[in-house]
Order: sequence, then C-alpha cells, then structure tokens
Amino acid sequence: MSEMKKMPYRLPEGAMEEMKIRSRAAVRRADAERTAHRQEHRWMVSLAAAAVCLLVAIVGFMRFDGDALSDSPYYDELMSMMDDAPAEVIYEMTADVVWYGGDTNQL
Amino acid sequence: MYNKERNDSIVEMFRRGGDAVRVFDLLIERYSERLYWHIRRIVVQHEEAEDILQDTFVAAYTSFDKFRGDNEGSLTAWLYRIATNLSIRALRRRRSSIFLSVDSLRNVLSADFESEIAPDGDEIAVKLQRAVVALPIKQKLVFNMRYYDEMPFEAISQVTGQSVSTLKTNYHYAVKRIKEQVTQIEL
Repeated sequence: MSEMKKMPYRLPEGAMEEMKIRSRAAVRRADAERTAHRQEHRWMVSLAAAAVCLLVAIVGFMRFDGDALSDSPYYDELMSMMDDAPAEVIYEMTADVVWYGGDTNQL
Repeated sequence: MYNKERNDSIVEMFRRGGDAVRVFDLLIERYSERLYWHIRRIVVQHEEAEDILQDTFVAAYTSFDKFRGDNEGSLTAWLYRIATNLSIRALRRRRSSIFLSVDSLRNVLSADFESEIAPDGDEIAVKLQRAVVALPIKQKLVFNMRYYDEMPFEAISQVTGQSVSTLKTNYHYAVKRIKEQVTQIEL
C-alpha cells in the first residue's frame, strides 16, 4: 500500500480515532437492532405456526365430529331401518342401546 | 492504496461465519481513513463526511449478505460504492431544487472548501484540491479514485457502474481542467 496523499483539509486532532469509535458503536447498535428484529420475527413465526396448528386441529375435530354423526353409512342405515321398522322393533333396538339400570317394571 | 489480497482475507473471515461485529471492527480499522477522505473530497465538510462514514459501515453491515465477493467485485469497490452513493445522496439533499443536478453545487462546495482548508495546508495540495472541488461530479469521482486512491480503472468501474472507456475519458477531461488551473503541478 502506498503512502496516502496529504490532504489540505482541516481535521480536528484525534478526529480519525473518534470516527472509528463512533463507527464501531454504530455497527454494534445496528447489530443489536438486527438481533432484536430477528427475535421478534421468530416470535411472530412461532405465533403464526401455533395459530395454524390450532386452526387445523379445530377443523379436523369438526370434520371428525360431523363424520361420526351424519356422514357415517351406519348412521344412514340405522335411520332407514328406524323409519321402516314396526313400533315393537324400535322398542327392542332402543332397549339395546339405552341401558336402564333400574327395575324395568317401574318404567 | 488498492490491495486485493488483504480484502480477500477479510471476505474469507465473513465466509467462515463467526462474530461479524468483530470482523467489522477490523474493517473499520482498515478502511476508515481512506473512506473518510474519499467522502470528504466529495462533500467537503468534515461533520457531514463523519456522518456518512458511519452510515457507510452501518449500510455495509446490514447488507453484507448481499456481497458476493469476487462475483460482484472486491470488498474495496463495494465499500467505495456505498460511500459514493451516500455522499451523492447527501449532496442531492443540499440542492435548492430537485430539478438541479449535483453539479449545481460546485460553487457552494468551492466556498465550503475555502473554510475547510487546514491552516498548515500545503500550498500546492490546496491549489490542486481547489481545482478538484470545482470539477463536475463524474470527473471528480474518477479523478479522486484514480489519483488519490490509486485504484485501477476496472475497480473504479465497479464503484461507479460506468465503462472503463467512459472513465478514462472523464479522467482525461478532469486532468485537462485541473492542468488549466494548476499549471505548475505535474500530475
């Protein structure tokens, strides 16, 4: 590296070292801001991921619940059987499903 | 002034990762003086040059992941490009109208220079700098980087984005103008 050419500008004594110190401090501030921004970003991503997981879980549960009640072929079959069956059969089926622990004579 | 090997070792340090702040400490130590004078020769005023130098390192720090080393030019050219852009932006802010070019500030910069001359400044250096300050910005940039920083035209091309032939033409006109004003100095 060759010698730097002399510049005829006024420069306060110690200004160059002062500028280096200020530049180092400015880079450290930028680094701190960047780190804080990254952490904030990570936190936002985590929150968004948690929200998506929760949404998926709710939708999944609702679909499962709906399937069990209305979309099941067993449910449709049972309904058609109930529609066509005589009253005593309905009583039999209901008695099978709903267990009554007390004395049936009391019903 | 221009040294590729030293820059490559700093670039390698970045490539390896690690403490970027510490590597920037090294960068600040090595580049502050030359970047400061590069900026000062453009904006003239010390306080403004000081602020732009600081902004240059911060801008370099926040966008270092965009630096592609040899693919996009050397580290020196990259830092000079940032410093040059920030300096020209500062000059643009000083214009009285957005419709005026940066060159409209030449008289203002010349007046600033007269108040910024060091009391013990070398007479020939003062005359040369007085002529340089009065140059149009494109000629001034290429002259400063070629004469004061001894950068090759290829590196200056990476800084300004102009072709080498355009830079040589601008340098030729800059030298011609300066010689007209400072005939006793052999450039």
